[in-house]
Amino acid sequence: MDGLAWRQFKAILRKDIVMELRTREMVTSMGLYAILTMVVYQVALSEAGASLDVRLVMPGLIWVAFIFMSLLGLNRSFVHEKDQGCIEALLLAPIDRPVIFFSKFTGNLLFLLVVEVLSLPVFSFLFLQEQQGIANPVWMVGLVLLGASIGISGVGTLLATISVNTSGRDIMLAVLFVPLMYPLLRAAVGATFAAVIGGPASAALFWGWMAWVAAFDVIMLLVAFALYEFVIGA
Amino acid sequence: MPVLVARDIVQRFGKQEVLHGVSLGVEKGEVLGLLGPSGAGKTTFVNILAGVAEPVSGTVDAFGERMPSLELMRRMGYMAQSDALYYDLTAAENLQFFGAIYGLTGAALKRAGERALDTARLTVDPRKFVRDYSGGMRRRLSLATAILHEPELLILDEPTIGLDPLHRVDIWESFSRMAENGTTIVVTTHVMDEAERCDRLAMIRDGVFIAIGSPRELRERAGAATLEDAFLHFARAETAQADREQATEHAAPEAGGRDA
Repeated sequence: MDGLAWRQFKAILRKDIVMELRTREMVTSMGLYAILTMVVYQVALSEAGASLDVRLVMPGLIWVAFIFMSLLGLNRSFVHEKDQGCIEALLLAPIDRPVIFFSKFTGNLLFLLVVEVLSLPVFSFLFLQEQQGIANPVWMVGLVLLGASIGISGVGTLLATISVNTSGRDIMLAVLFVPLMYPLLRAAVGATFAAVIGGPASAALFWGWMAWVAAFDVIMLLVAFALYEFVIGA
Repeated sequence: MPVLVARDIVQRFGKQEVLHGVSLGVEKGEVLGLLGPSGAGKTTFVNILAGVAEPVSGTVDAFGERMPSLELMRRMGYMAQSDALYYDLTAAENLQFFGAIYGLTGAALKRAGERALDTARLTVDPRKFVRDYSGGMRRRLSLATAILHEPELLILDEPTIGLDPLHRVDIWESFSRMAENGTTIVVTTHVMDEAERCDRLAMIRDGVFIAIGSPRELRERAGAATLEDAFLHFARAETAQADREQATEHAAPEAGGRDA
């Protein structure tokens, strides 16, 4: 990345962060969705009784919430660019399209991570009993969050760019995003399960799933990088 | 050599052809106005000139190179009908953002911002967000962002919509000064007194240029006192020509049938 591209990257990212700090549209909508989902989970599991080890279902519950929560944020990530015609001004500037992709991707990743990090303690408070801690070090869960969020933001930024020009963009993004997320969702649930439950084979299981997460991230970021010029100009 | 050349531009939306093979050249330092009613194809044409849209067929060359080109974008400025501003940022933040995108930083960015605001005749409140500006102030800020990087070629789509007459006159005086300094300007308008200020006019109707020339030439050719009358003259002539061609097309098969 040359000097101008780096300055352009920082300018778009800074602008997105400043606007999000002022409007709080993405973080608020994602955060509210996460909390409401947890309340619904609590009601859904209320008859399971004390015999249920929540840790067995926790990874799946968390990642289902995070996938759908991220849809809300991604849907909004291009709204400001589109509504006042700013996307045209960006496209007419001497800016490489991958710079636009990486700056929007980084912004989406930051906002997603903020909401995920804030919602996990709420989840623990609502569901985990005192004796039901996380078996492995917490950084392992953090690593899954980071790895999976990179994939979600990368694919999501590409698809949000495609869907912003379509009528019914909310539905369009969901229809494209959820099927593509299936391999990442499976790997993230597997890695989170290994981190939470522990046991003698958990380290091998964890790193095996993390390899899947990393492979998904690399492939999808390369695909998004290669396609972005075509997608944003369409 | 013309700064901007469009050749045989055809554009379609679905099955409807909205530009029918139009061609145009613009010289350095010229203010060229595209004059026509709503739906004539002005915005479609300038979107193609600016590289926002690609035509179905035809080419656009700017500074002797084929458009669209990322490198040429540095030398061009474009102001669309939409404001292309971030409403949750202040005017200064918008200028900083677009300046950074064009590679301006520090003192150069500050100087460019002040110059652009002066040209657009806009005084900004540093704490006020753009969403709290009037429509006219937004248009002027939008113009300031378009000229921030001092483009050699400026393409403006209805730049004075929503402005009061005083600001409109001020901005057109700024365009004249920019053209005197070598900036080439292509501007769309449907306001006749603005059209009078252009060096040359391309009158457009239903996706074809019906007349091209200086405002004075066009009035003289049409034998009209005003540009509005001149436009009506050329529009009627174009319609009559189209009717004659249609009649000839219909007559030809009938004549063929009689011969047989």
